[in-house]
Amino acid sequence: MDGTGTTTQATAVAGASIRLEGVTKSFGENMALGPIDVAMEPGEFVTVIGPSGCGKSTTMLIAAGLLAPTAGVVKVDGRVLDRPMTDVGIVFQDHLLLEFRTALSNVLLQQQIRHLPRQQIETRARDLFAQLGLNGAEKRYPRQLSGGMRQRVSIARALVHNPSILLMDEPFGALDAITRTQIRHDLELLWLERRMSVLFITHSIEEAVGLSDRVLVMSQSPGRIVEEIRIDLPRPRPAHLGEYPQFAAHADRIYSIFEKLGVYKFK
Amino acid sequence: MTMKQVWTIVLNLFGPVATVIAVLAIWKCIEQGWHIPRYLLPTPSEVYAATVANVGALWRNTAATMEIIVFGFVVSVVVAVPLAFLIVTFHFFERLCYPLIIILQFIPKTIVAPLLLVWLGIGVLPKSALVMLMTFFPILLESISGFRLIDKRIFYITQSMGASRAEEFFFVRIPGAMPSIFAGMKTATVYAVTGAITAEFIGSNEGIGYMILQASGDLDMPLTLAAVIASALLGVILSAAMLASEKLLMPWMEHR
Repeated sequence: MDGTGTTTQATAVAGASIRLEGVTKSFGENMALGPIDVAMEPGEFVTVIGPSGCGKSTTMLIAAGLLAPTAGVVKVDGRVLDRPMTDVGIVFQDHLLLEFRTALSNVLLQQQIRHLPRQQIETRARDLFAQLGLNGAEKRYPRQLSGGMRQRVSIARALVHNPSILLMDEPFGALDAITRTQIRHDLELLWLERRMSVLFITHSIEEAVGLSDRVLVMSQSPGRIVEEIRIDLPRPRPAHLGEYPQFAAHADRIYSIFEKLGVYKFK
Repeated sequence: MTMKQVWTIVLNLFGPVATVIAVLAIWKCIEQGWHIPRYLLPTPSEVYAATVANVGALWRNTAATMEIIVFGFVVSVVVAVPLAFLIVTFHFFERLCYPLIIILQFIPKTIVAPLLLVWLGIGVLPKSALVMLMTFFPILLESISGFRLIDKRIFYITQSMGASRAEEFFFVRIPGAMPSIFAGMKTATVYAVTGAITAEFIGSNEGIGYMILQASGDLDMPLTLAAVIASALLGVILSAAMLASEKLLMPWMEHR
């Protein structure tokens, strides 16, 4: 097989480690983020949760090497990241699909730009479509798909090249609650099968507890990590998380942190 | 084909056909009712007869005008689209070009035609140059807005794929701006026909504009009107070609 792409079979099996060390970001005079330290183990599912505008998205862009930190460094498998990370798949809140490409062709953009073997990637893309419930959507254009399906295509695009790292910035934020629960489960299954490292940004407590190995709770701007919660619920986790008493305990803890920070002002 | 489909086609054709018949009828009524002299307003049948009698000349001149239009139009697209991209991409380029573009835009282009004739001589060149000048701005402005419209965050994704600037251009920017570029081109076809015919009025020995000028000079109203109809058909053909290539190049759009 032609190996000009950045992804190799060896790294595809497990994720890479990511470390953010003393990372800060200011926009002009405004300190938007940090300093924060994050250490992700290979194959770990880590969620960053925090109020709007706390710098969650900035954290993800910095981790992806798409935005330079004002201070501090990002290390991937011990190496300092000084350019956009390529052994990665990214999903944003908006699907950001190319309207002029069919669903399958949007996913195959990865193959074209990375110069990966067409046959192999197309087979993987079709497998992903099946796993994500996208059968029959291959030849449809984004505008012909529902919001949930577009986001599923976007996830397929982020995974088709078997990256070691998956970065997701509020990927289910624009979806309705029922679709969100299903797609959360589908993502968990994909992750269990592939074990890439996932950095997941959200403001939903349910998603954070439902998906993660570890939840990092961020304060308001300038965002800092104020608490780290290990979630050791069995996987795959059910649709209705209330089944677990531990779920309520974890959720309570995040609520109380937010109350202490003044994110919630209940009387 | 089912009965229903046949019926739909008949209904769809009914509107346009009815309009044409109505126009011809009103034309005939005006001519009969007000006793307008034939040398001012010929009857539809006279125009038809003139068309048949001069079909060779009409065809030859329409083809000559078409050649000017296509040449000027292609040059216009080839210059305007890359220029739009440069203006959107490089800030200094925008500052560099804008004064010139605005001045050029507000000079009435038809007035420049005699100048073009003096500078470029007689032949295809000055006429195509006028077509280019007239079609340039709609294409440039629409292309600029097309390139600007692209969601910048898509480049986060392409950068994470390791895309080069050239790959971004061909995979994302060009197809992304295509609908706007085509919108500009469609607006421009109308200007293109006007530009070509204006240039032919001012200095030419062939083309549909030349033919209209000659025939009206001879007070040959049937032939004048036949040529006017030919020029309209020219515009229709151009628009149809544009629509067909749009369907071919942009299958993702909803075409009407």
